[in-house]
Order: sequence, then structure tokens, then C-alpha cells
Amino acid sequence: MNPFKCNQPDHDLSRRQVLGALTGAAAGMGMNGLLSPAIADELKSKRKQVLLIWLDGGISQLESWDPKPGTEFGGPFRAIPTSIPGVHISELMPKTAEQMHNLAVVRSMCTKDENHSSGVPRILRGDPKNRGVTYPYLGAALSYLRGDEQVELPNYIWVKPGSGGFIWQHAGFLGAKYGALALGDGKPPVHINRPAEITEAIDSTRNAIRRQLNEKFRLGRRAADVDAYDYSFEMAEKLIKRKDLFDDFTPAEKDRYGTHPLGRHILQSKRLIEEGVMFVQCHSYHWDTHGDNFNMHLDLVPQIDKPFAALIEDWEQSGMLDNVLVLLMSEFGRTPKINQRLGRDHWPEAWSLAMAGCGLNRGVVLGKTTDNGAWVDDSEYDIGHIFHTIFKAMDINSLTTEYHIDGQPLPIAHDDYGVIEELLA
Amino acid sequence: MSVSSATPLDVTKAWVQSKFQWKRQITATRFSPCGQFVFAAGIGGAIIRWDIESEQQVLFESHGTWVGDFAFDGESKRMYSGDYHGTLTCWDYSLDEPKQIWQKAGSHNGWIRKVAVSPDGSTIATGGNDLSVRLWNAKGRSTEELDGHQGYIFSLIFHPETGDLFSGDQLGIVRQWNKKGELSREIDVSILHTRLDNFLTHVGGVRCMAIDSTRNLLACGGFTNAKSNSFCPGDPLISIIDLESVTEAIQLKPVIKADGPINGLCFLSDGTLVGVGEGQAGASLSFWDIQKPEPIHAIKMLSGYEVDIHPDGMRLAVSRYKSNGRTGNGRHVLPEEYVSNDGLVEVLQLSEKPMEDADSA
Repeated sequence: MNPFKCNQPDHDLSRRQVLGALTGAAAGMGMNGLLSPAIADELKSKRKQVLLIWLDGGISQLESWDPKPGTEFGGPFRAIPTSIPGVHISELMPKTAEQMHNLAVVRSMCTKDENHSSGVPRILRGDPKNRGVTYPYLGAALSYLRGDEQVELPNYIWVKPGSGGFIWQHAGFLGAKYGALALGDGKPPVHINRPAEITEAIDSTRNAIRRQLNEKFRLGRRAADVDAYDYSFEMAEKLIKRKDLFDDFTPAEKDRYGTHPLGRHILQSKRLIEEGVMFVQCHSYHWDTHGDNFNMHLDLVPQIDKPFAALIEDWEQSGMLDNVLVLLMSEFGRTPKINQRLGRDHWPEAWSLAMAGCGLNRGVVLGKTTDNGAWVDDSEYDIGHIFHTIFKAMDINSLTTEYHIDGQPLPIAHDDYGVIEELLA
Repeated sequence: MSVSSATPLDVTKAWVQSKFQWKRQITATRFSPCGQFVFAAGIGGAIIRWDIESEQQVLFESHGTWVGDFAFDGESKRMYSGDYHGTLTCWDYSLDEPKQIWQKAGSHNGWIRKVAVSPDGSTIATGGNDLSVRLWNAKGRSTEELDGHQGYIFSLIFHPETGDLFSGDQLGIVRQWNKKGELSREIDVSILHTRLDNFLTHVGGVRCMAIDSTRNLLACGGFTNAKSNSFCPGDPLISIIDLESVTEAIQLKPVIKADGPINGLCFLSDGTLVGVGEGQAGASLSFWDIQKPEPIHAIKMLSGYEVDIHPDGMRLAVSRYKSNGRTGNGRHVLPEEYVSNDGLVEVLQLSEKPMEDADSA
């Protein structure tokens, strides 16, 4: 039994409706077949999802969303006009510039942590007040608050370079069940195919034995460890039934999104969202350009520009953007000041992120930085504001919804901050 | 202050004769062919000229973005400068006030990183991010486009005797072009390039070149064994290519630890090779007798980006970084303290310091 209670009213209502619809329905049928068309439609329309694209290390705001050409720290790149008159972004993002009317950009993020090791988890947890507990990452939080156990796919998938696995640590105090299933290089877990010599019946028996042994093993041990193993197996099982998720993409799709890792991973993430995964985090490493920042951004930024713009355009045209929230961000920005290796260092004082979809206003640029790009000049926002806004976009009232751990109510987002109303339609 | 030309060249006694500071970081620096001036450019659009004796400063301003490089023709007193918007500009560098002769926007699609002038002054070569090397006459008319590089052009140099042009790229390939603009050969210096499986970009490249025409050697500078495409740490390295056999004669490394590339190279009249590099915690100006892998002398300094030898053969100009407080990485800084780092050009005398200066130092 889960010890936490979600007090979000919309969520409860939705669950009740679903449960009501399920009552009396024939067991074993798919969910869509169990629901009245009206409720199914409502569910479908309320099924909100998130794709978080994470540029690990920190994309430079001056080489992306907040260019300051010709200024003290501005760098060598031009600012180019976008589809929103008067709004300019870096010339390194020409395709994204054409999608500006679909985006909401915040140029005045100001956060506290300039280290990766603490900054990444802090930002991904929404930097809640320290109450002596480990908050879940955004994906785990939404998996708990908004996830659906009935769906045939894991709620939280992490597409990342390198190796995969079940990352239960993302779940924090929610428990392993809400951890991330990481797909290394966007590929399915190894051994996803049942060996030919193992029949379905044998496989089923083996799994029954496995569950029994797990229960026995669980006695007297830390539940979290066994849970992690259990849930990872369950998630893998779900994916085994959906090997089609990893079918090759068409040459046209590959060309449109790019054949570099980030392009491939965003394309894979897109498919996972379209197939119903509630939260996908798509991760790219190596944006920490302390050395040779300008040569590196020259080659790095086009690798996000192309697939990001393609994704926004595709989802805008298909209508997916109505219900999918897309976030593009890092743990901080980069120093305006250029170091002796012609790099830029860590800069949480004034940085940018981009959002789109899920009811957010489109074509909005919020906040501004000083003329030299170093400091927030207007409308300073913390990651707490962003979490409140994400939750609201996901129909979760972040002011009334709480986690409960050992009887202690805990806010789901930093209680000193609130929703950025200017971002919401 | 001048030093007698009879003073013997001795790099181990090198000392800083003068310093010229600018409010932005400087990358490129060169002496004018007449020897009266030292020029510098880099972050920001200004080219700065200092009179070495009087230290008078004059700005050459018309570039709208960072200046990648500039080069001179002494005979005509022309300076050609290229910027990161692809604009090539011709100036008369010698007048009291800067005089722009012509300017060509769109000379390249994107950054011009390097500019070189042929020994006879008739041809200007430019190279940059559009992978092409372009040749121009002194009036700014395009005469040739040399294609074939697969990576950004990082370095250009004319052979002082043959007039052949060498272009070095991001992937560690040097292409040698004859005076007709024909490709003579390709030289593999890919030890200066790194692309590991997990890299998102190429790292390294032939950042600089120098030619010793007496021994027919090509020195290529950069770094090898890069560990990532974010910090870009690697091992600074110079590969000396014997242009007769097109084989690597020797590899040279600084002894003062640094993690960035060798950015600037030049040969002295006695065959000593001078290299300057960059590093996260500083680097060095090093001097090699190229028969030996380790330098005969090294001066620790903050990152350096270019080195040039004065026409008198006794002085060096070195462009380098000058810190102006914290960048803000990991430590809080106050807005009023947060200003750009500076650039510095140091002119070093490559001989023993005269006694009166030693006393006053």
C-alpha cells in the first residue's frame, strides 16, 4: 500500500470516473474498451504528458535564448529574428526561431546552485525547502501525481546516452515504484526478447516462482531494494510487449531529426510520448563548455535546434502540443564572462529555459536580463516557480496537493513560490 | 626602449620589455612589417595598434563582431582583417589615423578564422567555418576558392620561399596548395584531433602553423588526447613535419602543465621554435631546439593565444589573457565587480636585460 495520498481534486475525480467506468466491465479487456466513449474522450483529452529535454552541463543562454551581440560578454554570434516580431534568439538556432510562436521562453531564471553534482538534482527536484527528506525528480513526482498504472507502458522513461537500467533513486521518498526506466542510447533493455526455447507457459511459471521468491526475500530486508528490482522487472515486462516502440525510423524521420545522438534520442522520446508514456526525460551530456565554448556551441547548438524545432512543429501540426508539455533546459546557464580557455563557466544567476504546449501561452518571452546579460533585470524566477507552473499545466493544484510521508504533509513544490500566471493561457 | 642589435639572441634571458593592455580579451597579435607597431584583436570588433616606442594607441574599428585574424603586406602598407561575420577588410595600417581601403561583407559564409598574405603581397588567403580557403587579390577581388577541407579552417600560412599555401583544419588535416591553387598534397596531422565515441563534436585541430624554410619543416600546434567536448582538456602538442619526406620528424610538448592547445608558433632566426598555449590553470611560453622534445626554456603565464617575431628578430609579441576578477563559477560575485577580462600583449626582448634596466626592475 502506498503511504502517500494525493489530495489533488481533479486527479481524484478522474480516478473515480475511471473506476466507475471500470465497474461491471469485462475483465481482461483493454482500458479503451471499458470506458464509455464520453469518459474515454474526456480521459484522452485530460491525458497530459511531459517531454523534458535536458542539456546536461548547461547550454549557454548567450548562445541560445538570450543573445547579446556586440556587448561586453556577448560572444561572436548574431541575434536573428524569430516568428514573433521583435524577439531575437541566437543565429545558432534558425529552425527554432521559426517555431518561436509556439514557445514560451523564460529569460530570467535565477537559481542558487552553481555545481553540477548538487545543481542537477536540485533543479530536477524543484529545489524544495530542505525538510530532511529526499524529494522526487520531476518525472517521478508526475509519475506519482499523474501517472496511470493501467497503461501498458512505464510512466517515467529516461532516454539517455550510455547505459540504461532502472533508476529508482529518482523517486526519492515516493519509493522505487516511481523511479525512471532508463533506456541507454534510447534502446530497449538488453535481452528484451524471450529466448525461443522458453515458451510463454514456461515463462509465466518462471515469473510466478520469481514473485514468490521475491516475497520471501523481502521479509526482514529493506523493502526499497526489493521494490526496485520488482518494479524494474515489471517495466521491462511492459516493454517486452511493445518491441515495436524500437522499430527503426524512416529515412525521412531520421533526416528531419538528425542522426546525431540528440536527434535520435528526441525522435525516440517523441515516439514514446505518442505511444502513451506519461513522462519522458531526454538527456544529452557534454554541454559543460568550460573550454572552447564558442567552437563547441557552434557545433552543439545545431544538434538541439534541428530536432527541437522539428518536434515542436510536428506536435503543433498533429495537435499533440495541446496536451504535451515540452521543456528544454539545463541545471544553469553559463558565465557571461569568458575564461582563459575561451570557455564559459557555471552561471545560475541569470539563465534561460524554454517550454511549449499543454495550455501554455505561445509566443511568449518572459523576463529580461541586464544589457550585458549577466543579471536578471526584470521578473526573476526560481525553479520553484517553474515546478508550480508545470504542475498547473498538468492540472495539479500545487498549492493544495501534498505528499504525506510518515504523517508529515509535504508541499509538492517550493512553498515560497507560485505559478507563473503569465505563462498560462 | 631599444636594445642594441649587437646583443646576442638568448631566449633563456627573455624579459618583458613592454606591456599593452586592452579592455577585452585579445587573441591575435602581430608586429607590423615596419616594426614600429604591434597590433592586436580578438573579442570585440576593434583592432588595436600600439606604437612600440611611444605606446600611443590607435583603434581600427569597423568590424561588427570578433576579429578572427589579420595579416600584413609591408610593401603596400596594407593590413587585411577578417571577422566572424565573414567580412574581410583592407586597411592602410601605417597612417596616423586608420584608413579603410575596402571592405567585403560575405567574403565567407560565417567566421573568418585566419588571414595570410603571400610573400610577394599579391595574394590574400582567408579561411574559416565554411570549409573553404579563398584567395583574393590586393583589390579585394576573389581569385580562387580552394575546397576539400572537411573541417573548419583553423590555420593558414604561406611558405616564405616557395609561396605554397598550407591550410590546417579542425580534423587535423593540412592541405598544401601550389601557387596555381592546385592541391599538392594532404598532410595527416590528425594526432591533433580527437573525436571519441561519446563526443558530440570534434575537438582540437591544427590551431597554428609555422614554417622553417631553411630546414623545410612545418610545425603544427594544437592538442591531442582530448578527454571531452565540454572542458576540452587534452595534452598540448606540436607535430613537426619534414616537408621533404612528409613524415613527422618529432613531437614537442611543453613541460609546464597545461590542458589546452598550443595556439601560436613561430621560428626564430636561429631555428628555435617558440610556442604559446592555453590552459584552465595557465600555460606557458616555451622555446624548443627542435632536436629535443622538451623545451630549452619556458615561461609560465596565463593562457596565451598568439606569438609573433619582430622584424628585428630579437623581440616577440605574445597575446595573452589577463584576469579581471572571478568569472562567477562557483563563487558569488557582485554586479559592480563583474567586468570583462582584459587582453594583454607582452613584448619580450630575447636577450639579456641591459644592466640599467635590470637595476631598475
